[in-house]
Amino acid sequence: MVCSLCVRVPDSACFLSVPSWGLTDSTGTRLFHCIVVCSAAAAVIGVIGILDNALQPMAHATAKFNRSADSHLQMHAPAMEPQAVTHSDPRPNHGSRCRALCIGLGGGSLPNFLSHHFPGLLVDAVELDPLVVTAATDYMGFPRQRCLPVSPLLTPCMLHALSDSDVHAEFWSSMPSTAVLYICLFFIVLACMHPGKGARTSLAVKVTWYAAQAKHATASG
Amino acid sequence: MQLHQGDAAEYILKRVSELHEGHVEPVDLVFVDAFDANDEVPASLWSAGKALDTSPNLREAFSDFQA
Repeated sequence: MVCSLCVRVPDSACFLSVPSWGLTDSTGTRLFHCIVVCSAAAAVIGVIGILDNALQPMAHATAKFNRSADSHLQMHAPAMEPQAVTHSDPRPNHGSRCRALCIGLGGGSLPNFLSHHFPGLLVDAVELDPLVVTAATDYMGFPRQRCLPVSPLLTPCMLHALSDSDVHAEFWSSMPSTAVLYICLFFIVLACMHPGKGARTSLAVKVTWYAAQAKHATASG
Repeated sequence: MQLHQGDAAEYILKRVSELHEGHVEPVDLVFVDAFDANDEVPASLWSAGKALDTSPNLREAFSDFQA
C-alpha cells in the first residue's frame, strides 16, 4: 500500500525538505506535508519518490532542476499507474490523490516532470508574471491550457488566454449575457482610452467578436 | 495539471481559507521556485505571518535556509 511522496536530495544546502507530519497551523489543521525550496544555484539534482507503509521506496524519479536552463531535466522513472500516488493511513484523507504545488512556473519543466512521472499526482502551478506563462507555453513546450486567475479580476494572463480562439467558445458560452456585455464594454473603453495601443485595440475587437459569436451560437443552438 | 496566474502568497492564503472550510485537501508537496531580484525567496511567502508561515518549525527551517 502506498504511503506518501517524499523528496530526497544529496545536498541539503541546495534543497530544503521539511518532514511532513508536524506542519500545522494554530488551529491544528495540516496545511502542507512537505515543502521543497529549489536552490538559486545553477543546477540541483533531487529525487522525488513514493514510499510504502514500511517507508521503503516504491518508485522514484530523478530530476535535475536548472533555473537558468529549465529544459535540462533528466527523466529516469517509468510511468506509474495513476492510483499509485494516493494517500493511505495514517493520514486522514486516506484514498485521495496526492497534490503538489509549484510556486513559480519557469519553463514549466517541473510541473511537466511531476505530471509525467507521477500520473496520479494532482499538480498545480502558480505564476505571477504573464510573460513567463507565455514563454513557457509558446517556446518551452508547456501545454497550453486555460489559466485560472488567483484573484477574481481579469488578469493579463487571462486576457492572453482570451486571445486564443480555442478557449473562447467554452468561456463565453458559460458566462451570463450581462457579464459578457460588461466585459465587451470594458475592452472597448480600454481601447478608446489607449488609441495608440494597436495590440490592445486588436484584442478588444477580437474579444468582442468571439463573445458575440459564442453567444450567437448558444442562442441558436 | 492546472495553472494559476497571480500572486502565490494570495493563492496560498486562499487555499488555506478553503482548507479551513473543508473545500480542499492539504497539499503534499510545495516546490518553491520563486526568487526576487536578490535571488531570495520573496519575503511575502516565508516571513513571519505570511503565506507559508504555518508553523514555528517551518519558520525556523526557512530561516536556516536563508542563512
